[in-house]
Amino acid sequence: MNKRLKIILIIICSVICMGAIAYSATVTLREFTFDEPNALTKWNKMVLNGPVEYKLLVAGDNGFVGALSEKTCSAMYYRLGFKLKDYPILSWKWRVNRFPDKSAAMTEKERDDYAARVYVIFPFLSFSSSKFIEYVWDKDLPEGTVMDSPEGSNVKIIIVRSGPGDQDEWVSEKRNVYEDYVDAFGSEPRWKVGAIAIMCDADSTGSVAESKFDEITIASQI
Amino acid sequence: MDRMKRRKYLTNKPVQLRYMGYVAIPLVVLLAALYYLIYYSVFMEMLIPEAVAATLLPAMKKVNIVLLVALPIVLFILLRKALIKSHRIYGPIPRIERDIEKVLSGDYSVRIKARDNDDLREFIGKINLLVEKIEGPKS
Repeated sequence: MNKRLKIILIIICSVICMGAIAYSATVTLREFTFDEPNALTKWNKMVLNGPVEYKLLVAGDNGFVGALSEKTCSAMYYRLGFKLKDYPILSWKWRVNRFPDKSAAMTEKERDDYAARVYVIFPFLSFSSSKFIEYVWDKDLPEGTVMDSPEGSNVKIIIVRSGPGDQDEWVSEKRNVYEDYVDAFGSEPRWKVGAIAIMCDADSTGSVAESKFDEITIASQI
Repeated sequence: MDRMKRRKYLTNKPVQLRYMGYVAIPLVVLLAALYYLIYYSVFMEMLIPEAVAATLLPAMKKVNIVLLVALPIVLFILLRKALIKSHRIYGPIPRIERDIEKVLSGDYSVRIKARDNDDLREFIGKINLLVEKIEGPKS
């Protein structure tokens, strides 16, 4: 093999390798580590039924969001704008310290209390034409359950974690929201993601719920 | 000029309906745009489905009921006003045409009548003056 051919082969291999690396690399659109003291300033609070206490907590070097609901319901949301197909991966860490007491809950609406939810919101024109996915940690409902929210069929609840869990252990989640969307709604998302949100509520049951959230990341692929 | 009672408000149907449309359509469009703008702004501020369902949607339901009752009434009043206003312009025109026809056929004794609120009252007065001058001094 002559020298020129060798050089050409090396260049071709390099280009292919670089392309493969670029193709497989994860591009992170946004990462919320909550390590900075002002990490929640760009998050908006939406109070539904009394304020839930959302505050930045620190354990060692690690910052995270603590949520405490005492018969209250409010959410924290962050506005974004991106195509889900470009950044389909949503990952986060969470743990639940106290679940709302649903023992006396009779109706679907009363049972609609969850210690920890992560929302992906697809706003478009109106509420009914918008789509919402709620990733929920519930004590009783089995993992993998996909159901309509009491608010309507355009709001899908996906149970990603079930059972009490370990109160001191972080649990990591990684979801392909695009695939979840298609599975839940039966079609590809037509609108951009407009916001993500976290929520802890215990207002319908009139009980107490407590959870923690950390390292919410939106990325291109696993 | 004699007082005359308006009997028929729709004297020039296509023109007057167009005039009423000019009043009603922009108003309805503006109202709809405003309604949607308020709804959309609040919705985009809330975003959380539970919040929207608990507060915005019931509020919009109430607004819709009020609009459902009030809008036809407001529209009726506005269209009626527009009809009356347009009649003040277009109402005397057939009469003017008819009387000018008479003048053209040689009857200079004709005087066009106008109502107190007619917008063309002064114009009619000038035509009557012109006819009077053409007719010349009465013997």
